[in-house]
Amino acid sequence: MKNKKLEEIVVEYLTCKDESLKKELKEKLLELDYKQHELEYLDKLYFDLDKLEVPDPGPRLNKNFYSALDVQISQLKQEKNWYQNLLHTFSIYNNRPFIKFAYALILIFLGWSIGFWQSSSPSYNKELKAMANEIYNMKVMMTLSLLNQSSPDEKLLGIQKAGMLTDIDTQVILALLETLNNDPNAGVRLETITVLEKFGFHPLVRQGLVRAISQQESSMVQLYLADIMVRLQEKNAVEPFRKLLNRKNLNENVRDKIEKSILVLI
Amino acid sequence: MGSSSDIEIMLRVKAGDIEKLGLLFERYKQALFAYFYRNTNRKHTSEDLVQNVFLRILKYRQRFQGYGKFTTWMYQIARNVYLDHCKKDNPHSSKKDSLNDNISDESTAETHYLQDESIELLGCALNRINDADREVLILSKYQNLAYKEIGEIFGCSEGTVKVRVYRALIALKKKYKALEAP
Repeated sequence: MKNKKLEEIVVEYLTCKDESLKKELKEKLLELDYKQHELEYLDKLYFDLDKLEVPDPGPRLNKNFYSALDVQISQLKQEKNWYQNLLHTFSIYNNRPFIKFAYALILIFLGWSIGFWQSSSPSYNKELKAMANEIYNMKVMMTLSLLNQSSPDEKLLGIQKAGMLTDIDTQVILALLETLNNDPNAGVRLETITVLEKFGFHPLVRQGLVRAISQQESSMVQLYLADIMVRLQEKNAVEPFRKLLNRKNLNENVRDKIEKSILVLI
Repeated sequence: MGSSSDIEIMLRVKAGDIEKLGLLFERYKQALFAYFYRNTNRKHTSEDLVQNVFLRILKYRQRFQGYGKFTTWMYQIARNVYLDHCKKDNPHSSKKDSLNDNISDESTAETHYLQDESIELLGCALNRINDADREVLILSKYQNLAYKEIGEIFGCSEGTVKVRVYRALIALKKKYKALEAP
């Protein structure tokens, strides 16, 4: 009450239906020097406002409203019908095989278009190349790391990884040749030759294989090298083979194989 | 029927069941008609304005959120309809000049009431106060709306509504006294 404006209290007084509260409000207003006759005048005026009559609306209100509502309802139904017809048409044709085929073709075309659009984008190609380079470098690093391990299992895994490289790296060739010439395990060395044969087009690989002939003590490795040299048609291998034939302790089978290989190569 | 039912009906109208608007029309046509009639003193105009309110409710049904009372939203629309009508027609400009304004050009025998002279003068005085004063007075006196609701309709506080009602009453008293004077 304290914070209320005088006008607010007057309105509360005029609209109050509780007699005791109304009396209280009147006293309060008189305390605030609001003129009694003014208050009573407003009270009567406010009361008399109730006597102002309003006629009932005529029948045209109902008639006009319900006509307008009918128009709105029929418009909405038409809109609904149009939508439902469209859905119905789709539902009929949806089950036909040719429509399913058409959907499939549209999807394929969309997929192709998106793929084409992406692959023809220069920035996309650049990104793809950079990503491929990064992956290749990671693979090379992993292969070299495995080839440097002392465990035959890990070395074999490294050799296998080297064989999976699409583009041979010089560092990997050198590491494989190092393995071929120095690894004590004949199995590891045989596996190394198999992978090196895959990259036989590379001059460094061919030179390395030729040099390895004289360094191998294992009969199996010697036989395998003879086969590889024949397959690669590496004529530079003839000289190292002849030197090998001079060894007194050379296995007879190896000797025989090498002699035949020399004949093929020359 | 309470306001929650109004809201339920209006939400059904919003969802596309627009036939249900008839229920709200039946419920509020009389009150809205009285609101417009007291503001315009014209029967046919008031009937048209009531219809416009319900057509606008239909048009803007998607904007109805279902918060608060339905009547607050309805009277906001009614008020806009009335303000648009005032802008278009300015119906009071000629009416205020004559003492016989309360018997409008559209009035027929059914709108002639057996009111005593003082009440007739009060009706004239109400027509002569400005639109804003009359509107707030009508909403508070006749439309059974709380001051808080009127505040929401006008975008002001409850206290401000009371002050505006008071000022409207003072304006009404002045016009009434002026008409009473010989």
